[in-house]
Amino acid sequence: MMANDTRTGNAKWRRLSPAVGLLVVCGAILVLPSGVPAQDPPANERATQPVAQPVAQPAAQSATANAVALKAIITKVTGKTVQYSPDGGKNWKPAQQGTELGRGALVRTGFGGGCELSFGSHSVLIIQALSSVRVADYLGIQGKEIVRANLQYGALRCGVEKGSIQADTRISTPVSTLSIRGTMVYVSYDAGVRSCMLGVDKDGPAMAQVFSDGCCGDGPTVDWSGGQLGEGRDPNEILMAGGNLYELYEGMRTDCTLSRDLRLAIFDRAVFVTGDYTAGAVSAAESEAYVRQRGVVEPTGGATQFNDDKSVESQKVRIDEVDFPEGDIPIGRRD
Amino acid sequence: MRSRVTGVLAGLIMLGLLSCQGVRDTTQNPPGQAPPSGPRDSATLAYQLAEQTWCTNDDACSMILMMVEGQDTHESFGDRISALETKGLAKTSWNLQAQQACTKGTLAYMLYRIVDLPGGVMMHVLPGRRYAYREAVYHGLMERGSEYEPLTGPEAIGIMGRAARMKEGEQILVYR
Repeated sequence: MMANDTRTGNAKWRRLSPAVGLLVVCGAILVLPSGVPAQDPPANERATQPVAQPVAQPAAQSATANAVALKAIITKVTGKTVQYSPDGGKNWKPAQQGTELGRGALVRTGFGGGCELSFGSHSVLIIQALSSVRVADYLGIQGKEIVRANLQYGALRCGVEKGSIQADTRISTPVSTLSIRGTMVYVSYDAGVRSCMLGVDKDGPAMAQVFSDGCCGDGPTVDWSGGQLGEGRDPNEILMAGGNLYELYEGMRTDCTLSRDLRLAIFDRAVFVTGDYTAGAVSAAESEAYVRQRGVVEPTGGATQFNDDKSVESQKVRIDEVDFPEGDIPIGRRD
Repeated sequence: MRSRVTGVLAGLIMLGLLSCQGVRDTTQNPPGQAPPSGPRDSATLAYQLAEQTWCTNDDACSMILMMVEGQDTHESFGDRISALETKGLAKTSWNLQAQQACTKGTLAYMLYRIVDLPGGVMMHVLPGRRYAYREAVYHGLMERGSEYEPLTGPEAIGIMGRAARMKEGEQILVYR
């Protein structure tokens, strides 16, 4: 009896084994995609990726080999709730005037707190209340200073001196990068909704790049951390590669919302025409569809409002009723 | 045979238990992120919130007190709510729980009073979290949604940061 049980049990397991094998194969198929990113992409995909610039990499490496790591200095502290971490957020200490910060150091502020961070008297970061900033890099390369700072949340102002030394300063948030040369800019980032505000307070221009097209943070991102830039490499070229590049002048501001909803309307000059302009008129249905698809708020209320006195609806006399005293206009007719 | 079946069943039960751990009450913080017992300053709390999934009522009340008084000396959530009620920033009748996620309406009501937003007619007639939230959205403090939506940690920091800058007189740009 016992032996019989064992035999039937083995037979059941034998019957089950193909199913188990099938499950293992399915599992392997499910697990396999996680390993794909580690492999090189196909040649056609590689060609369409704008961010990677393998050709310029040796130049960047040789330039960073000559780079000297510099220290930023806290030059002003406002309020009691300003702290810094020299080790990337493991230990925090109260910030004091004269504190030196190297690569990877963090500064955070609370309510009523503020901090001024100087990079060799050529670039100054003024960190506002309830903000956190990481000094990603501060390098000196042959008369050029490279400053990279990451705004994790909150707001800051940054001023870069014009002229004397070639300063290449970039403030980045997870959704944008602002490249600054000789200007005063404003950057704020809301980590909750992943939206940023980039603006130029004085002088300009500054090059603003908002990552991704459809929604903040979902598009191609560029790692601006140290070592990517080198001598003889144009930063604008890199910025252009990522797309969504705007040149901001004094008084101009942009943010993710602008990029998402109004970019087409403002930068690509999408114009709604209401009235009887036959060539460019937009019907009510077209206007509604455009608003729905693009998310652009049509300022005039759509093509249904014919309150323009030139509108077809407003014309008192039909075109075929117009009587010319000299007879019809002789267009294309020779008697 | 029985032992094998028992083993398979035990394995399935274990798998079920493990998968159940993934379904977490969104109104509660993970066990590892319980609020610290010691005194906190606003910079530390903001940094913690920026990495935290949900902003609890306790965290929100603590931040509001720090914003108003400069520090939070209260030891319990009950004390914080009482202190906020004294200032007209919260109501004990809301029956808020310390570890429950703070809603947008609750934070909007507190900030509406602190930032001194110019309220609309409805806010004057029926002052409450509903219309406070609408005012906060109108003035660019919060994103559109519902006053019952729970706030994430980073969202709360973004809103409070904007409120702090607004309080200092900075103009908040609103795109509608």
